[in-house]
Amino acid sequence: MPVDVDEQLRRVGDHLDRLTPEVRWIEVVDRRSETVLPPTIGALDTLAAVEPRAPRRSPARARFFAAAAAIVLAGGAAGLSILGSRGDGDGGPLLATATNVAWYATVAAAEPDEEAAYQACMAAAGYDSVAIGAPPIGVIPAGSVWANVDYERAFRHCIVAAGLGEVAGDTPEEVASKNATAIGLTTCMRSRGWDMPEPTRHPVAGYLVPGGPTIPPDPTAAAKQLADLRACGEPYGVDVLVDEP
Amino acid sequence: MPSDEEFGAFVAEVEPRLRRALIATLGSTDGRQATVDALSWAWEHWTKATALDHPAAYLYRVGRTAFRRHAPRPIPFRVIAETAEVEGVDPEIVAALSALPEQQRVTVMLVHAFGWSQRETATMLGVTPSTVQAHLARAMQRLRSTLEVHEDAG
Repeated sequence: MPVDVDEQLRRVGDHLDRLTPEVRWIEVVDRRSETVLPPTIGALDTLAAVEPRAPRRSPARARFFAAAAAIVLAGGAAGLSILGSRGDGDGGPLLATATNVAWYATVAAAEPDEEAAYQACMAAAGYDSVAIGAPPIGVIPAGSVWANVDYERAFRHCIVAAGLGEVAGDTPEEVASKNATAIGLTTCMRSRGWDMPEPTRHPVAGYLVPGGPTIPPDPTAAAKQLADLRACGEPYGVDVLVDEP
Repeated sequence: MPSDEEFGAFVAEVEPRLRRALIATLGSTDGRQATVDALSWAWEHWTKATALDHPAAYLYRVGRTAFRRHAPRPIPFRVIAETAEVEGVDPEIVAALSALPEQQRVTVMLVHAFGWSQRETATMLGVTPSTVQAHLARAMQRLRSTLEVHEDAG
């Protein structure tokens, strides 16, 4: 029997529609300052998106990890820990946290009473929130409420207090420190002329993860890059180790 | 900055079309995240966002750009995984869709999967209606021929 392409496409569209809930605007008001905290866009069901998913791969990273050597940034004072898996094709994690999963929240779809408990808890902390927003998976937008340590602390507390999920790992201050490391390392390497991808937000842990630079084929240039990487990591207490093949 | 009412109304008007266009381009998970990124941009650039003739079309490009900044090489259309085992969806159509060039795939998704008119699709994608028509014709031809070949082989 011939395949009805139009009907099949409609089913694909219906399925994707069901799979992708509406994005809602969620206003959060800090009652202490009477200001609206920007921008929290999400919905109850987006909390499921906090679950791990396959990290995005960039060409730079793909080349980086396809190279014979993988650079392991082992956590120093900043606690950064990124382990690159080598030559892994399309399988296996591109980035894996070796020691520090900053925090995660697993939250089931909230029942009305749970959502009310969450909102009451947030109100007690000084935030009026019309719904529960999930942290963005990508890089935090400038000025986002998720860059507000107080808000994140209240969110973490209230998610647990309302019985909506669990939060584990680093404190907001530790996450902020890791974010500063990722941004600082990237900025420093770029200032030295290296092509560094934008940091990405760890899909589970929430902190920013610096991208891996493309390793130049010329051994002299590669050695220079490694030296720069070590120099850029030094202020943040990041040790750059080379894992030989 | 917009008031809650202003921005809420803006989101209500723009979001459904923006989300579907970005899903058609990036798949559901990344498309939704790109929608969030694009709407966040609109919040931060409210004056500019409200001055646009076609805010959804502009935000579609914002969302795509924001996503591609983090995933600069073309990614496999995630509908493959998302629709791989859906009852009533032939796995062949999913594979054939993902094999299409992006412009053709997005066009055919918007028109045939989400039921948009060719003019609406052209506005969102920033191309002419005749370009949409050409993409559609090529895409449907490729889909039908791929599926017919597989049917014949079966």
